[in-house]
Amino acid sequence: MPYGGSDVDAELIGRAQRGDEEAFASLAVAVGDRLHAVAHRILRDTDLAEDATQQALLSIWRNLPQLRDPARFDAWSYRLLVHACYAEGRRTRRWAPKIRLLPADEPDVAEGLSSVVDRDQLERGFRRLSFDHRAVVVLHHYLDLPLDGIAEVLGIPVGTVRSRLHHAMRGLRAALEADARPAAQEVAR
Amino acid sequence: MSTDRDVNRIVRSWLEEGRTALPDRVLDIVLDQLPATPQRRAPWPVRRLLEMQIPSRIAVAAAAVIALAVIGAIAFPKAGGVGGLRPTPVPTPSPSPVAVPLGNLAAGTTYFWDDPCCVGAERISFTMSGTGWFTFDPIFLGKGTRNPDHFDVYISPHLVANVYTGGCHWLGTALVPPVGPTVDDLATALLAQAGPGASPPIAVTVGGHPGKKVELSIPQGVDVTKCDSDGNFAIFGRWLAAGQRYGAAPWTYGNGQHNTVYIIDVDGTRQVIDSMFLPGTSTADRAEIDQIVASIRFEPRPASPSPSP
Repeated sequence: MPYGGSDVDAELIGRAQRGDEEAFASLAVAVGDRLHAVAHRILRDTDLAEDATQQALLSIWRNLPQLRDPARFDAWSYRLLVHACYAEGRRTRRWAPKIRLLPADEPDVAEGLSSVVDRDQLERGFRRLSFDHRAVVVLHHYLDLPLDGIAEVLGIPVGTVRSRLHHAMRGLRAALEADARPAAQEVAR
Repeated sequence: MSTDRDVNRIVRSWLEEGRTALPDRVLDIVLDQLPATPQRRAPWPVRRLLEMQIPSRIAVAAAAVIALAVIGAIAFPKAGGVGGLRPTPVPTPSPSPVAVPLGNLAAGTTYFWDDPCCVGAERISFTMSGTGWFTFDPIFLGKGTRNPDHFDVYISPHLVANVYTGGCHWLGTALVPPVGPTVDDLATALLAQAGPGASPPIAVTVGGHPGKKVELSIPQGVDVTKCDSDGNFAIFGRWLAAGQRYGAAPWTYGNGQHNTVYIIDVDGTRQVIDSMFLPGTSTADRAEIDQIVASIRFEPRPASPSPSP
């Protein structure tokens, strides 16, 4: 998993901190995919994820001189990314009403029915979560971050992380078990 | 019934799917912008001070105290022949509006909206009434009395570019030519959209500016989940927001939703304040909306940028 200790060269970070654009380009190549993967999973939208990653990379460049400990680069960069995701999500949400239409992705015949159903239910359940809750789920279940690591990334108490994760997983579990519910009644939060 | 472990496994497996690679063009855009994006450096004296040994820090601090004393002596003349500096007056904090934050809003606090998406030339300040109000987005203040993640009531500013005539089936029904620029133009168009039986607009004054109030209810029997969608969400389409080329507003939260739309002429700019409640909302919560509207003031935007929430 991407988070397990920074594999980014501290010397590269140091050069980028001093304004070396070439060093930052190497840094961006090294971390771009992992940041984009996280953004895509939080926002569930390709365009928004690309915009959020772009904003996060620029924010990393702008603020890099203020990062005192290069060993904390990963947590710090994920924090900037999550904030960029929140901003992108809010920007589009402003125009998005709350009633979701039903879904309609055609199942892939090559896939097992249960996995298609699960995926569809999860997608709907996940989209009902706030961005705060989505971020905690992705950081924990995709990046494998422990709760205190998530607290560091998000700058919130561990108890809040635990509460958000509990709430989010309860929502996703409910979504997975909702196949008996008439889908047309789905109301997004 | 799935176990927690099953759910975790399914969620992890689902999260593994999907895109990971960042397209080269995005990276190119970022790198192209670097020369025009200055880095923010930590203030030099602070960094230097932290890096210094203790004796050096003491010396620098002492020098700073002396420098301040000299500057003070020059800046403040002696008073009445008695030695010493004139006491510095302590500024009294004045209650000034603060930008609407994300999260919970405090009763009695005066906030302002100034996002140009939805607010005209004059920013809008208001005082929160009641408790339990919060935001997912600073433009929408809401309250979820039955479900904390779902608004039952909200209030929000809008700038309106056009009106749809179709309501639930709004796609392709924007007025041609678009609705005119005045308060009456919009009030008349919304009334026509509401259909027979709608209450006529009422003359109101909000924040000292004249306007009209229009009451709009989603008709009984309309299942809003079946309304036209903007691609993702079903909307009972009332209007097209200024600056938008597609989509409809305001947000639709449920069947029977009732919107009270204040259309105000703020020195020639048409400002809309939209409030909403769902059936079953308490009269107390509805009264709080009225109190917030009654507290609204329009005021010039400050010259410097307002703080971000």
